[in-house]
This record gives sequence, C-alpha cells and structure tokens, in this order.
Amino acid sequence: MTEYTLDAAVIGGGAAGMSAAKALVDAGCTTALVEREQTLGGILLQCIHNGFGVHEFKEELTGPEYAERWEDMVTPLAGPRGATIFTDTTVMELIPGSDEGGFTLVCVSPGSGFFHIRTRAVVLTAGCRERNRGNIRIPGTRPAGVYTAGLAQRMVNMEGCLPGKDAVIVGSGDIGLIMARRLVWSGCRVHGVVEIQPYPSGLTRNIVQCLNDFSIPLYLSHVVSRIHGRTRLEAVDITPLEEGRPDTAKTFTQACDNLLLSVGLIPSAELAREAGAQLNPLTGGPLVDCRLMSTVPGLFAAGNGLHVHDLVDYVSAEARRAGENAAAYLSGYQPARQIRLKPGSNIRYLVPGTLDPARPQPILFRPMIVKNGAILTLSLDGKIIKEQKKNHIQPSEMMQVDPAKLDLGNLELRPDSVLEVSLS
Amino acid sequence: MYTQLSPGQGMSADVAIVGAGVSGCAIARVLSAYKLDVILIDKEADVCFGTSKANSGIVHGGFHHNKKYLKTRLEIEGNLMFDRLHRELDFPFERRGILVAAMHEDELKHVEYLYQQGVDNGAIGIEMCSRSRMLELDPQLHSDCVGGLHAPGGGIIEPYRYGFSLAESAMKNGVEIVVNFPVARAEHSTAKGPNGQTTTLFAKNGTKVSAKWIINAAGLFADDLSRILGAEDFTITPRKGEYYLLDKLTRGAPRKVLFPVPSSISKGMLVIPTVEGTVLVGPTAEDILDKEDTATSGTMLDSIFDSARRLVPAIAMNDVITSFSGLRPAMDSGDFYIEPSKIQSNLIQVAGIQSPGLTASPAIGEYVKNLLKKQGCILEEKPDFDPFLERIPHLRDKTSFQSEELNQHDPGYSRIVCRCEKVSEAEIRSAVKAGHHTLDGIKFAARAGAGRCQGGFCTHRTIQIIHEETGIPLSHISKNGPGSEMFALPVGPPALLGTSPPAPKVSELEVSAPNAADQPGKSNQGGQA
Amino acid sequence: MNSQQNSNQNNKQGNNNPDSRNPAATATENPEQTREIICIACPVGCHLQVMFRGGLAKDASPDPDTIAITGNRCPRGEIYGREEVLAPTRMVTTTIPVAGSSFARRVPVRTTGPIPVARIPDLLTQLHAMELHAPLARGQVLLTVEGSENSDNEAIQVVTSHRA
Ligand SMILES: Cc1cc2nc3c(=O)[nH]c(=O)nc-3n(C[C@H](O)[C@H](O)[C@H](O)COP(=O)(O)OP(=O)(O)OC[C@H]3O[C@@H](n4cnc5c(N)ncnc54)[C@H](O)[C@@H]3O)c2cc1C
Ligand SMILES: Cc1cc2nc3c(=O)[nH]c(=O)nc-3n(C[C@H](O)[C@H](O)[C@H](O)COP(=O)(O)OP(=O)(O)OC[C@H]3O[C@@H](n4cnc5c(N)ncnc54)[C@H](O)[C@@H]3O)c2cc1C
Ligand code: SF4
Repeated sequence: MTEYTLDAAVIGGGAAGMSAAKALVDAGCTTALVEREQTLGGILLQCIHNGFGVHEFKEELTGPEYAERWEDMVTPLAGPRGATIFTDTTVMELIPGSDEGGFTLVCVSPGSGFFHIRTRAVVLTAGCRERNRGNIRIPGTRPAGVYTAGLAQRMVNMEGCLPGKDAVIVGSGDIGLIMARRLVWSGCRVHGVVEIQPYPSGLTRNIVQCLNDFSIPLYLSHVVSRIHGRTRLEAVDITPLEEGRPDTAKTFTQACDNLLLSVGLIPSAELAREAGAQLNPLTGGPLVDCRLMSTVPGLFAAGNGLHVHDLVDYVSAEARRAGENAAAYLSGYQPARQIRLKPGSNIRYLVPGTLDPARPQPILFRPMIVKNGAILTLSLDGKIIKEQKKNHIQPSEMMQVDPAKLDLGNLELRPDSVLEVSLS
Repeated sequence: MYTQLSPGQGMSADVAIVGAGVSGCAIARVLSAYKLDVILIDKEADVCFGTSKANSGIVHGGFHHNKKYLKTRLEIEGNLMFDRLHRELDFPFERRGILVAAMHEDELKHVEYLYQQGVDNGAIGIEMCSRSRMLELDPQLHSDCVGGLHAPGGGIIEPYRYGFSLAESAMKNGVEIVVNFPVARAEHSTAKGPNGQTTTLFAKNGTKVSAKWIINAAGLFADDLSRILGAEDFTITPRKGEYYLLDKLTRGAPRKVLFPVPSSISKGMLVIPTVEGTVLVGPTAEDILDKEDTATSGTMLDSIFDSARRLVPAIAMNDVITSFSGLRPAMDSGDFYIEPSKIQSNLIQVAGIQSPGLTASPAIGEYVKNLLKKQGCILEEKPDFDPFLERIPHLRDKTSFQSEELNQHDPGYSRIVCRCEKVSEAEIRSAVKAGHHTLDGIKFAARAGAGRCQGGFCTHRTIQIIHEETGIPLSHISKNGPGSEMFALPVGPPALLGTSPPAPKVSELEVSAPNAADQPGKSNQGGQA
Repeated sequence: MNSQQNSNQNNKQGNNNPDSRNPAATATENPEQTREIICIACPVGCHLQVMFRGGLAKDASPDPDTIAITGNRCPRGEIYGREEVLAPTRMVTTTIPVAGSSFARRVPVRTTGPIPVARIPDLLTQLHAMELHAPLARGQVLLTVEGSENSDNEAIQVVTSHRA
C-alpha cells in the first residue's frame, strides 16, 4: 500500500480546506489537501447565486466563482511548493498515532485505490450535513417528494431535475429562501415557507428578493404538522403556534408535490469523533482551544466542519487561522497560557473556547435574539473592558469580535481569568 | 433480475406464490430445489417492501408463546435453521441473545413463567439471571434491574437483506420473480382435480400468470386475495408498530435484545441493537383500519422514549435519525393460518403471519412444501440446486488492507458514494444488477442512504448509478415504484406569477382526514415484536 | 425599536388571514396610494412607506416627482426605495446544460449586473432552452441582455461563472 509522509493534511477541499492548505503551504509546511469530489470547491459549487466574497475579494461573486478563484490560488501550490492535492479521494479513517500528534489518514480513490497519508497535524474541514425529516420528526406518511433543500439544490442546479411542480419549504434560513427563488425560476411554484420561529431566520435581502418578489407567503410561528400522500407527496398540514404550542384547531392543508426541508446543518465531525476528539454539544463540531485545535493534539478544525457559518468569507478567514496555527504547532509553538472564553447573556455559543493573550484571534459567536441597536459587551473577570453598539443582530447572522484590538497586554490577567461576551 | 410483464403479456408455471415477503420468498427458495416451474409475484417494485421490511428484526428465542400454537412450533424450528441459511446466503445475522429485564421484584414472577414456557418449548440455553448477571450480560441495562431471563439462542437479523437473499437464491435456482403485479382478479379453469385445475391471476393492466398451484402469502392482503380466489372468508386486521432508529454513534447501543416485562397497562418498548450498529426503539401496537397506513404519528414520542430509558438510560432522542412503522397482519385466532384451502383445492393459504413470522419463515417454507406434497404436487429434487450465493463484500466490514484487495478486483470499491455508511459505488452497482432499481431498494440492499444523513449526500449519485446501469431515465427513477418518481421534471421556464396555472386549492375548512394515530387513548402502547 | 416590537412586526407576515396570503389576489383596481417595501441596503431592514402623491394607477409607471418615502433610518433607504419603485433590478443566476465536460452536466451562469425585473422571465426561458459545449472557461460571454446597462452604460451580459 502506498504511503505518503507530509507535515500536515487538510481533510475536505471546500472553502475552508483550500484556505487552510494555502496557509500551511505559505508557512512552509508540506501539505496534503484531500477532497472526495472531482473538483475543489465543496458546497459552493451548488450555491450558484451571488453574494460570496464581499470581504475576501471585495466583490459579490457567485459560489462557483468564489470557489474557482480559490482553486486558482491553490492549484499552483502543488508540486515543489509543497502541496499535494488529492481529488476524487475520500478519507475513510483518521487514526491518531500512539506518539503524540501523529496521524494516519486512510484514503481511497478510484485512481490509486487505498493508501495512507502520515502527518503530524491535521486540519479537519469536512463541511456539514443537513438535518433531515427524522431529525425534526414530522409525522405522517413517507412518500417521494420530501427532500432536504441542499439535495434539491444540487438536483436543480447541477443535474437540471426539479423535485416537482408545487413546493412548500420548511425553514426560512437562507438555503430555504434561495431555493424558493430557484424553484420559481426553474418552473416550480412555491406555496409557502413555513418557519417555526416568530422571526425569519434568513437575511432580509433574501426575504425580499426570494419571497416577496414572487408573493410567496412566509408563515412565521408555524410548523408542518403532517405529511400526506401514499407514493407521492400530496399535501402537508400546516399548524400555527400559539405561545409556542401548536394550535391544532387552526391547522390547514396545503396541496403540494414536494416539501423541501431547510431545517439546519450539523458539522460533519465523525472523523474527529472517531479520532477521540470531544464535541461541543452546542455546535455539533469539535471543542477547540485558542488555536482551533481539538482535544486531540495536532487535530485542528475550521469552517462548517467546526461550526456552521453563513458567510463564506468568515469560513476562509477562520480556516486560514487554523492553517497558520497548525503550522505554528508544527514548529513547536505552545501558548504560554489560555484564558477561558465564556458565552454570556443572549449568546448561544462562541468559538473558540479559549484565548491566547499573546496571539489573540477573532471570536465568532451567535446571538440568541433579534434586535436593532444592541450592545455587545466584553468583560474580563466581571469587569467591562469594552462595549460596542451593533446596528442589527439576529440568530442567523454570526458575529465576530477581534480581541487583538483590546490591548490585552495592559490588563491584569490571572491564570484563571475568564473573558465573557454578552449582548443586551 | 426481476421480471416485469408488459401489458397483455402472460406467463405460466406449476406454482405461483402471491406475495414476496419473507414467507413467500422462503417458500420460493425451498421449492427452487425441486423440478418445478415457480413464479413469485408481488405488487410492489421489489421484494420485501411490505411488513417484511419494517419490523423488529428479532430472531425470537422460543419462550414468548405456548407451543400449542403453530406459530410457536414454527418459531422454534425456524430459529434453528438460521445458522445454515446464514452460511449459505450471507445476510446480516447474529445470535446476540435476548434479555427480559425485570425492574421490580413483582415482575420476576412473569419472567419465571416465561422461563418455564421456554424450557417446555425446548428453547436452548435459556436461563434465569440475577441482577449482577444481567448487568454483566449487558452493561447498558438500567441499574434498577433486579434480575431476568437470558435466551442465548435469540438473535438479530436485517429482515430485508434476509428476504433479498432468499429471493436471489430462488432466482439463481430458476424461480421467476414478477414485480409490479398486483393480483386483482382470478379465473379457475373448469377442469377439476389437483392436476387438472389451473388458476389464472390477472393484474389490473391485463397481464396474467397462470399456475396449477397457488400459494397465498399476501400478508396484510391475504384476506382480500382469498376472496379474489373465491376461497375462505377471513379478516386480517392491521396492527401498527412504530419505531425510532438511532444513529450508530449513540451511546445507548445495547449488546443484547432487551425486552421489558409487560405489565397489564403497557407492554413497554424494546431496545434492539441492529447488526449494522444502529439501535431500534419500539414498537408500539395500535389497531388501525387502513392496510396501507404506515404513517408515523409522533404523538407517543415522549412516552416511547421514557419507556425505553427505563431499560437503557443512555437512550437519547437526539440520536434519532428516522422513524418508521410496520403493520402486523393480525387474525382473530392469534395464530398462523397455514392450510390447504377447503374450497379451492389447488390453493394453500399462508395467512395471519404476524410475529414471529420472520423467525418462523424458514420453517414456513418447509411446512408449505410438505403441504404441497400432501396435496399431490410431485416434488422431484433438482440435482443442480445450488444453495449458496456469492458473497458481496462490503467495504465497511473491511480493514484497509482487505479493501485494497477489493479495489484491485474492482476499482468501483474505491469510490465512496454513501459517506455515512461507507458504501462504495461497486456495492451499489451490484445491488442494481441484482434487481433493486429503486432508491428504497438500494437503501435496503446496500445501505446507501440508510445512515445519519438519510440520503442527503448520496441520493443524486445513487440515481445516477441506477440510470447508468439500467438505462432508466433520471426522471423515472423512483423511491419505491411507479408513482414515487423522485425528480420527475426537467428545469424549464420560470413559474412566475401570472404565467403559471392557478395554485392548487388551500383547503381551509376541509380538515384533513381524521387519523386513528392522532387520537390519544385509542392506542395501547407497546406490543410484542 | 426593541426586539419585542421587531418580532411582532415580522410576525404579521405569518398571521395573514387566508385572503391576504396571496398579495397578488388583493391588488386593487383603485389607484395605489402607498406601498410598503423593506430596505435591503443594510441588515437593519427598515420598513419603508412609499407614497404616491395623487395615486398610482394599475400598471402605470410611477412619476419620480410624486414619490415620497418615509420609514428609512438613513439616506441610503431613500435611494434604495426610489430605485426599487421606479426601476427595480435584480441579478440573475442559473445553470445551463453542458455537453462534453468530464465533471459537470450543467454550468453556472450569471448576469454581469442587475437587470430590469421585467426582463427576467424571458431571459430565464431563453437560458433554460440553451445547450453549451465544453470546454468553457469562467467568465465566457454567452449573450447580451438587451435593454439593460450598468451605471457605466455598458451592456449587461450573461457569462459563465465556473469552468466546465
Ligand atoms: C445553500 C447555501 C447557501 C449559502 N449562501 C451563502 C452566501 O450567499 N454567501 C456566503 O458568503 N456564504 C453562503 N453560504 C455559506 C458558505 O458557502 C459555506 O459556509 C462554506 O462554503 C462552507 O465551506 P466549508 O469548506 O466549511 O465546507 P464545504 O464546502 O462543505 O466543504 C467540505 C468539503 O469536504 C469534503 N469532504 C467531507 N468529508 C470528506 C472526507 N472524509 N474525505 C475527503 N473529503 C471530504 C466535501 O466533499 C466538501 O467538498 C451558503 C451555504 C449554503 C449551504
Ligand atoms: C412491528 C412488527 C414487528 C415485528 N417484529 C418481528 C420480529 O422481531 N421477529 C419476527 O420473527 N417477526 C416479527 N414480525 C413479524 C414479521 O415481520 C412478519 O410475520 C413477516 O414479515 C410476514 O411476512 P409475510 O411474507 O407473510 O408478509 P409480507 O411481508 O406482508 O408480504 C406480503 C407481500 O404480499 C404482497 N401482496 C399483497 N397483496 C398482493 C396482491 N394482491 N398481489 C401481489 N402481491 C401482493 C405485498 O406487497 C407483500 O410484499 C413483526 C411484525 C411487525 C409488524
Ligand atoms: S434605511 Fe438605512 S438603516 Fe434602514 S435598512 Fe436601509 S440602509 Fe439600513
């Protein structure tokens, strides 16, 4: 069996993987970039709408354009510059070695069969999967016509096949909204988007341009309560929520032949979990420290495989940090101390879990509330050290704060110091 | 590969078996060892798409029922036949053993009763266990357990793969399997006498199959088929059983099949490990009216999980990847009804095959063969009968070195299609070649789409592979047969307002059909597997 | 505005009575006096009230001088609102089948800038009936959208947005 030995390996060649691999190579590490599909780009290749790259390229690109720009930067790194790019190759297993930090990746590809890659560091950028009907447990029959929005997106955009001619969409996240417009544009009527929350979870821009443009009703505080149809979906029941509980008396039935579920994403953290990494129950991804390193030394994570992002620019930036941190780890850097980061009021979670005062890196977090004119507060051991006004916050928009601007050097840090982030 | 008759086309044989569940498949396979023309018919697009695909998958241990019942005698006999079948056919099967766990001293009484019944029935190795022995046999058990019963001969099986392999073996030995053939009408020829009379079965589209002998193994519809054939009048009542399937990464996976002790109020939920490493929680038991109503209700979710957690505290609702339900074909007698018809002399009824039908199925095959013989059907052994099926290796069972060997043999083994279950393209192609042309068929045969993402990643690839292997256009590839096409329409001009036909009516007032499942109180929770 | 108010406001969209569920069905024959639109120039999403002084007849195009906008929290809202009422434009993206590519069955395409909303249906109909041949590079021009220009008066084109 063929075996490659390199400094580092990046698992997954989407936005995160390409960025992490470039950072590693730029820092002088020989790096394997492993992607299961034939082309680099990941989920971006099926997101054919525009709205990507505003931060990274200062331009509004489509998903495929964003992916190809990165591909154009990464492909030349192959060969003498230190990168080895394996496409059409799946990492089947990630085995931590007995000596600290070493890994074996069991890979398989139709071109070269099974082979091993041995490295001292791994960045896991395997993206995420969609929550499905079983995860949200919609009762009823099990006909054809019930698909996750991402599968439908792939079928419509990349295969040219429609899921039906009359759709209902569950979930008002951006994927659901964008699919509503895509379906209408491709010949399928959309009869409504059903959202369990009292507010839409997607961007306002998408509510306007993907729903309002086509007079598609948005049912807030509603759930799809039953699926009908024996072989093919025939209708769904939609029930409003009153004070958070279904008001079954007001249930109505909407005829449709396809139901798209856009009900959340979960990081594909299986490889990390199997390698022994602890997961964060709030994000579904690995628990990481200030270096984006999991509880398994040498195993880093970034992008949707760490926690689900809504902006690809944040993905690229986070993965760049993960790559740089992995390179630093390989050259022996260990943070002298880490202070714990704690989610305070109105924060669902934050990533990473700690901060290295010597090399502070951005903290990403998700709010739990919708509000205009919110205040973001950072407090160290109970003392407010920074307050910032935010125009608008909502749970579907990830936020970021950069502690590099905090001047941590002048603050009094104890070994057990806690930095709390909260919103009010 | 299955046979699909085109309108007007007909076939004839010595024996026609209607219903390709585990009963029909087991009968077909037994008969395939004899010089007989056998046709196995099913209304669905694949075999085992009825009750045989949605059940607990337990090979029972022979202690649940008294042996005065035919079902108990066939259960015990059938159980013993699985080792050999497993060697010949290579379906997923493990003798994991069954535990009945008492959580209270009072419950031990009933356990002792079951133990005695098992001993009387001749269940091999059955034993009473102390608390510590129970916890040692399965550390996942709730520590409240006070003792129980262990039936080491009980096991677990993947019911559809078992059924598929019976069908494949039967086909290999000459049986024709005709799918998408719902028997709607029958005609008997006038010539009487066992060898004179032939019966012709018609599907709705005019296709027909005629045979000298008919076997009614139509499961839930055996009563309807009996009427179609002008034979006995009996009634089959569907009893629904609902399950939740847990991810194989769950921390609540037991080693053994775990039964609670049934109480007068509830039979309680079982926690069942599957051969593939997932876990089943269920089933409920609920009498319903509609034989095709396999809808899941969700209403009993909390009580189902409460009940399961009394057995295994680590069971978590978050681990649910899907739910499904199956229908038991219950008859009033509570027993199997396997007899020659007293009205149509060339018909054998194989009805009321509720639990433990899966366990009993190998014995049902032999039993029906003997009935046929008694009725005058001439059975002459085929010298070239081959009981073995070629093993299809599965990547997920292999080490990387073994996988490398597979790859050298067929590079299709090194392209992963279903990442959750590690299913390669080669495995999917061989499932398609074996006749599974629907997504559900592929899911059951090769596990692509059976894992935690439930097909989110691999469905488009599977559709493509079915298309490449069979030439079926993408738009015709279905979930489980005609009418369930997945992505039937091409991208076309936009459906913008004003340019499109009016939207289908939203029925504000027309309340959706009342469903038994939605009415609490009507269902008693829990049931036998 | 606090979060409570905001979510209540949004909630209205969901508690529509059945008749108003399809706004198109309620379009009046009477001249339109005001129209509510949501500003998307920033994430705050102000609800803008667009008033047509003297009313706007059905299917008539509004006169820029009779429009008044309220509800905006900043001047960008005014600009957005006027544009949205006077000459709404959108970016269009879709995919077109491509023959002869080793990895793609369809290639993504985009307009080089926003085009008038009224032109979208015809453009999509035209694009969905096309078939392309590999190899294709990113940015290859496929056609020019008639009657649409960007701010520099350059014609808007449809280009591929990935190689194939
Ligand atoms: C529908 C949709 C719309 C979006 N819209 C926008 C938008 O308008 N603007 C914006 O900025 N962002 C948007 N995003 C978000 C952004 O595009 C994603 O967050 C980002 O692309 C994720 O990149 P990633 O590299 O983390 O994951 P992915 O792109 O999913 O990449 C993961 C890669 O890993 C590979 N992989 C996984 N497991 C293995 C393995 N075992 N072996 C080998 N390879 C493996 C996969 O094949 C995949 O290519 C959108 C996302 C979606 C899903
Ligand atoms: C919830 C539940 C749990 C169970 N658990 C267990 C268990 O753990 N262990 C165990 O041993 N048993 C179990 N059983 C019982 C077992 O599943 C059944 O006994 C067995 O599957 C019955 O198989 P069958 O072939 O008789 O019927 P089916 O599988 O129902 O097959 C009948 C076939 O006939 C076809 N058919 C019907 N009408 C027509 C027609 N007119 N024309 C053509 N074809 C027709 C149908 O399509 C179907 O494929 C369980 C059952 C249920 C419902
Ligand atoms: S009016 Fe100004 S503040 Fe309000 S949404 Fe528009 S740009 Fe944002």
